[in-house]
Amino acid sequence: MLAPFRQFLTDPRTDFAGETITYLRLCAIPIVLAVVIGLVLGVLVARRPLLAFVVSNLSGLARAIPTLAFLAAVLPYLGIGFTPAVAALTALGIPPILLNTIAGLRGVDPAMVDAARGMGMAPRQILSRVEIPLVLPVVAAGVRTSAVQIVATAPLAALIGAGGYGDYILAGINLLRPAPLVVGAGCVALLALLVEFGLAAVERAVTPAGLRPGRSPASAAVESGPGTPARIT
Amino acid sequence: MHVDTPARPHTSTTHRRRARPIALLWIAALLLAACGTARGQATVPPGAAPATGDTASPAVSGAGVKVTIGSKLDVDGQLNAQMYALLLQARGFDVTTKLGLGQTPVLDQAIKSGAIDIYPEFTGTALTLLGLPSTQDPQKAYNDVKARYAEQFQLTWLDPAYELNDSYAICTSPAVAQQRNLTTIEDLKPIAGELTIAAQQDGIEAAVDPVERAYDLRFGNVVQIAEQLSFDAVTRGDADLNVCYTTDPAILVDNFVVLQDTKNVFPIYNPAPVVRAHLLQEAPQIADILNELQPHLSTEVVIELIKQVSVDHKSVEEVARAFLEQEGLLTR
Repeated sequence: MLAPFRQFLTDPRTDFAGETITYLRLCAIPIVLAVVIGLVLGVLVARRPLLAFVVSNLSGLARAIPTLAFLAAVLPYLGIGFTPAVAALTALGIPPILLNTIAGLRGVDPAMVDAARGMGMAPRQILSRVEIPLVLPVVAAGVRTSAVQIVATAPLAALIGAGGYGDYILAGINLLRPAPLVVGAGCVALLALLVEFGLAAVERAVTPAGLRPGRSPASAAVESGPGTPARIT
Repeated sequence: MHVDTPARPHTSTTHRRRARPIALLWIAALLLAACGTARGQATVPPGAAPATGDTASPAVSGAGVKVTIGSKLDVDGQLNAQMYALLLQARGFDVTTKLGLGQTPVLDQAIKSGAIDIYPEFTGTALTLLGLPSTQDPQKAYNDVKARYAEQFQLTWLDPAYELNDSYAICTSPAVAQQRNLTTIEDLKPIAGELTIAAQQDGIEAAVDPVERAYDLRFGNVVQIAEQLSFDAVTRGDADLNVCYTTDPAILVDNFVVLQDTKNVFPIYNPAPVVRAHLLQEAPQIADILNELQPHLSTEVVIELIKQVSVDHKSVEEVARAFLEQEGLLTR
């Protein structure tokens, strides 16, 4: 029963360590790029209603393009291998972060800012003590969605020569072999779960104590506030 | 080392090529495939078919016998299945088609469970399904799968199309072939170490390994990439060679060169109708009807038919019908 798996994993061709490193890079680089691009773009457009409308709808539209189609479409321009795969996965990862950043920034209740000002806070203090703490959990939710999507979609990169666990999955499907298929799919699932739980913990950690669900009446405001609609999973 | 990707700078920004229709079509095909099995399902009411008339004599009429024909996602499989369907419809069978049902394991389960009665399968693929080693001998491949399927699954292999071999090959672009003066795999031997070959994951074991062993050569680099995209990779210069399927219409459309396999190393993949034995007991004439088709099929013929579907955007049914009429197997 386990013999095919042992055989597969011990085959030097399998190169499990190498493929794992490839896969981790294939996920980590797009996640970092998507966070940077999504955040910067989001902050830039959030206060400009028209731009925010255009950008969020464009990125919503981009989500509708299947990654596979994107990979095939950019092939004539970006070629094959690691770079186009990273480009495609980054494009996939930007929308949730961008949309949540915009939603988070626009969702800050002006009354809270008013109250802070009334308490005598300077603009910088308002930003660091009121606005950022309110926005961060929403952004973190976007990052989590985006990261899990990237981890779960990265096997497709094997279609354009970027390697990783996708090689195992495709070999398993095409050669009708369960061992590589199960190992590849299992590792992807495990990694996706780790990222999901890890980033959920981060999300909790960056949520101000007073806003955590079940802690205070304020939690109700968050549930119906910016967090929920933007977290599209 | 087989998973290394070439760290090669992309220098070809100066030259943009037209988007290849095949790549786009491939995208469309994947999207459609993702939509599930609804595609390609069609039921022909019992009374509708015989009216089209044909050479069928009353003795071989299949009126009233219900037959469900399935196929895999590939155009080759769909064309074969559609031809079976048209031939049986013309003889009065009540045919339901489920084209593009899924990949091999799906069809394998479907026919074993009785969800479908007939589907085209390749001898080479069936050997893999049975866990048997692949072979270059068409007759041996067919005999082995026929015997095993009859014994283990009560499934009958009808005659295969021996002239239609949907196997692996080593291809290259006309430009590379000319520049490197390549016509056979033998020609690769002195230069293989400098070359990058793009192969789909299954092509490594089925093509790259046997070629390296039999021709005593070693490719400089192997990139794993989807077969349909590998032609683009070679045209762009990301790879020098690709492992292609012998019926890929890109060979026709982009004039790709199939390097001759002088040592006969690639496994054989001849398609044949696999039929549930119960159905054949009920309607034994199915064997004769479908066997009649097989000598008309060849790699050269089918690659052209696949091109008509995947490049010229004709429907599978249209192409299959036109071919059967042209061959005199179906009257207009």
